[in-house]
Amino acid sequence: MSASTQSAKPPFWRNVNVLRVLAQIGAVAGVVALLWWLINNLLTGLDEQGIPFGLGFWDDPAGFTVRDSSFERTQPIWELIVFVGVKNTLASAVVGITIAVVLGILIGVARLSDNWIVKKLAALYVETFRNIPPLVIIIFVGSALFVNNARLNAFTAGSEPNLFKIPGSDSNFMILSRSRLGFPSFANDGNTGLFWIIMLVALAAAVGVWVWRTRYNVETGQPHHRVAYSFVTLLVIGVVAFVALGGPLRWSWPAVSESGRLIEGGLTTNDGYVALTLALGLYTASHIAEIIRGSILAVHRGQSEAANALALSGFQRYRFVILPQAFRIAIPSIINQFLNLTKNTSLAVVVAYPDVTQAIRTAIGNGQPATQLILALMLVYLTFSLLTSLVLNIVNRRFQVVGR
Amino acid sequence: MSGAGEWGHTLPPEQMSGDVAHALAEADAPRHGDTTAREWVKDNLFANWYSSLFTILFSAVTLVLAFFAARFVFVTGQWSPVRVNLELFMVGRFPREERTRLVVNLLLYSGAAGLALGWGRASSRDRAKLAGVEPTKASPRDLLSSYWALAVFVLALMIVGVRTLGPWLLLAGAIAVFAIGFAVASRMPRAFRAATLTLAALTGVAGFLTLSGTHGFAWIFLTLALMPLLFDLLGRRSDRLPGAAGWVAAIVTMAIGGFLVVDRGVNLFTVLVIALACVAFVASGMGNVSTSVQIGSIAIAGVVTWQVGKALDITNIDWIEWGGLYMNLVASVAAIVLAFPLGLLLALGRRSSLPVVRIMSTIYIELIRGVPLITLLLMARFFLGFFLDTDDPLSLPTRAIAAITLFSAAYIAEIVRGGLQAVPTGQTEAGQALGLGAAGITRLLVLPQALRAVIPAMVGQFISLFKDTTLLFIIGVLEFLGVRDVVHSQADFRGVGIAETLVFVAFGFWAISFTMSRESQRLERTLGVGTR
Repeated sequence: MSASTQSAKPPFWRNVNVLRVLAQIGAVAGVVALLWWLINNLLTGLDEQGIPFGLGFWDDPAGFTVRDSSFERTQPIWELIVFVGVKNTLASAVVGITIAVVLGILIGVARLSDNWIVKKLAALYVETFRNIPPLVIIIFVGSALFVNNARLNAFTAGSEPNLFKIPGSDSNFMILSRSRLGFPSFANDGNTGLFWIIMLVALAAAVGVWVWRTRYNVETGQPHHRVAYSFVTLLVIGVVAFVALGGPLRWSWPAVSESGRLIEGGLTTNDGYVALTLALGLYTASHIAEIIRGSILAVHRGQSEAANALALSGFQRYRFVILPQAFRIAIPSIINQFLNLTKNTSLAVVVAYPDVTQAIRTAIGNGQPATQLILALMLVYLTFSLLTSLVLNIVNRRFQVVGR
Repeated sequence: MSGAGEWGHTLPPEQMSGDVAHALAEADAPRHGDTTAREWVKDNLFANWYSSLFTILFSAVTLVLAFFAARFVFVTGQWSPVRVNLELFMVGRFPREERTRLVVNLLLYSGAAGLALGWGRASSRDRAKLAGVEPTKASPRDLLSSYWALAVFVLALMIVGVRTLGPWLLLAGAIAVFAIGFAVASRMPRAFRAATLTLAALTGVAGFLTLSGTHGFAWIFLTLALMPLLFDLLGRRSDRLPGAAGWVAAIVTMAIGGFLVVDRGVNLFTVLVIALACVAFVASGMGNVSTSVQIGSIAIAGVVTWQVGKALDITNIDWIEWGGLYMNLVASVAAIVLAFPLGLLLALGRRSSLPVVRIMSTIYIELIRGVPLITLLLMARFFLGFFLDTDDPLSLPTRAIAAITLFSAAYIAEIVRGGLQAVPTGQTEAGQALGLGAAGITRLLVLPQALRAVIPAMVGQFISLFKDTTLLFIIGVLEFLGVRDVVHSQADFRGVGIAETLVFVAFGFWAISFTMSRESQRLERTLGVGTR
């Protein structure tokens, strides 16, 4: 008896639990020692070079202006990062994602077309854009549309940009040039803030109507027409509010400023933004197209055969049977592509568009401490990535739970 | 039931009766063989009214685009910036008087590739024989559909940029050396298999050293290349995870040491790294062959290769003088080779049962995957050098390769983790039933299956890594895309042929990436990933 009790308690150097703890302590100690050594080297090195390692520079004036932005040289660094950098990154990412999704879905479906030419052209698109580095595509689009476009003029004091007038009027419909572009847009006029708040309420109401119609359809089996109902709700509230507030928005047409160097009014944008956003949209579309195609192929054949057996039309088969299931498969990968596109906006450097990476590079070039700024840059992107995984988790919980 | 396999149904039609048999036979009959061209056109181009509309519309668009593309390439395009600077595009500012080294390098690399592929061919033939199946053989048609893009790129290079006979001879020589290597390796008897692999590794390393020079500790590469033969001779069979891990750690440290040496020569730090590698090597074989035999053989191999290097005495050419497309290839190959062991360890760490190890691996992977590569490259550009306590700073390309390595290790870890998860639990349970330990199960059962399953994904990662090396241009390394800026700052080509050089660069990247992705699809089919 006593012998078996003794053998049940091995010495501590053979005890798995003790060994596990020791192994983990060893791993932590190793990593901490490595990090300590690296960071110590970094601090010593920076000290020898006379570079400060503090966060005091945060509120210092940036000391430079940013192209096509109201940023003043006296504003602090952190405002540069947040109000210029992050804002521009998001502006490019949101529009780029929209382009990529629309184009990607079209091409992904086209690759499964019955028409041989459509199928081959879609394959050509995907194989071309997927295999060229995004940086090359950005430079190409920027160069073809703006820098080397012989049809466009430069926009300097001596050179007038290309103006497109509205027939029979003096306002410009569009202003194009190699560096700056102007488009018509809404401008604020008086009660704008109130108008947008009412529009938010209208949006909530439209969502409510959508939910109500869906329930109605589920309970009674009558057609829901939820798209029409919601849209009409939104439109009616919008028009009523617009008229009641006496036209809170007005059209604003772009015009060349008196100095001949800027565009006033309308929506001003520049070549960097258009080139970056369009190129990333085209590049990411090729990836999204492959995801869509794979997801549609992943829907079981029996589903489509069942739809045929129910005598659904080709459109109905896609709309009600295949696409809902395909999207459920595709959504996580597509959201990952959104993150990839957002991270790729850091390539804006080559078209001189002041996204967050470019803003921080400029700051470093102007003598701000590189180490802290690059770590801050990483933090910005990590925040985007965390937000993406948050959305991904919510989406997964919402869509992937299927009672099968 | 002899007809079952042919017909795909349980009974051949003649044994069934009535309409069902008829319908099944009709459904199974080959469809493409007996459609006429007319029927094909009707089905695929003019099936209904909107299909016909699309056909007409898109044919017109395609014809117009093809016309303009052809006119650009053959008539209006000014290809002189590419023609004059072809060497700059390919190898950057490599010293002109050292050009012969490039020739030798290319020949040695093709020889190494031929030997390695021949070795792979021979061993897959052996495996097929062992399994009692017919070995798969690539048909010329398969090869053509994989490699046509690369072939077009190489031919375009030769036709556009080459005015003398030399490069054509070189191309022919490289192909000949490749063929000879392949033929020799694939006919090598089984007993000399390890020798073939060693020969391939030695040829590859010799090619590398032709360019980098043999100064300092560069002989460590030669010793490393001798390892397969050495360990085969010693009869070491590493079937325990500590052995495998030590082997991996040794290769990583050895490679890092080699890099540092190529970059900066000998100092206390590099000696330390190399010593660490030797310790890892010794630890990896502990318990199978006596330690003294191992140390002795490694030491002898080391001294021999050192003396060889000394006798040859080829001067160093620093990274900083390498460039062009060659730089992209070197950077991506170096990064993937260095990142693979690191990624493997991270993947195993992320699935470890020790919570601390798991958490640390997860943090590393998620932090790196959350930031774009450019931030790591900026780190390499501005302060990576400070992390190492060295007197003279690392060169920019070395720092950039280090950053890309750290970056791709996280992605490789996730790929390998996917492969590990794809191995059924039954495999682990079978291993436990056989009485294997956790390490043995991972090394003998899980890893081989997991790694085979992830080969296509790894090729995909390699392609995206290759495309990402364009970012080196942003931090100021002269790579393929960056050469354009140099070309257009020359007096002759300021503002001339800007679109043409860009198209040329884009086509180069496209041809190489496309070929690799085709090859990985072929690999996927051969390996049967996803079909079992």
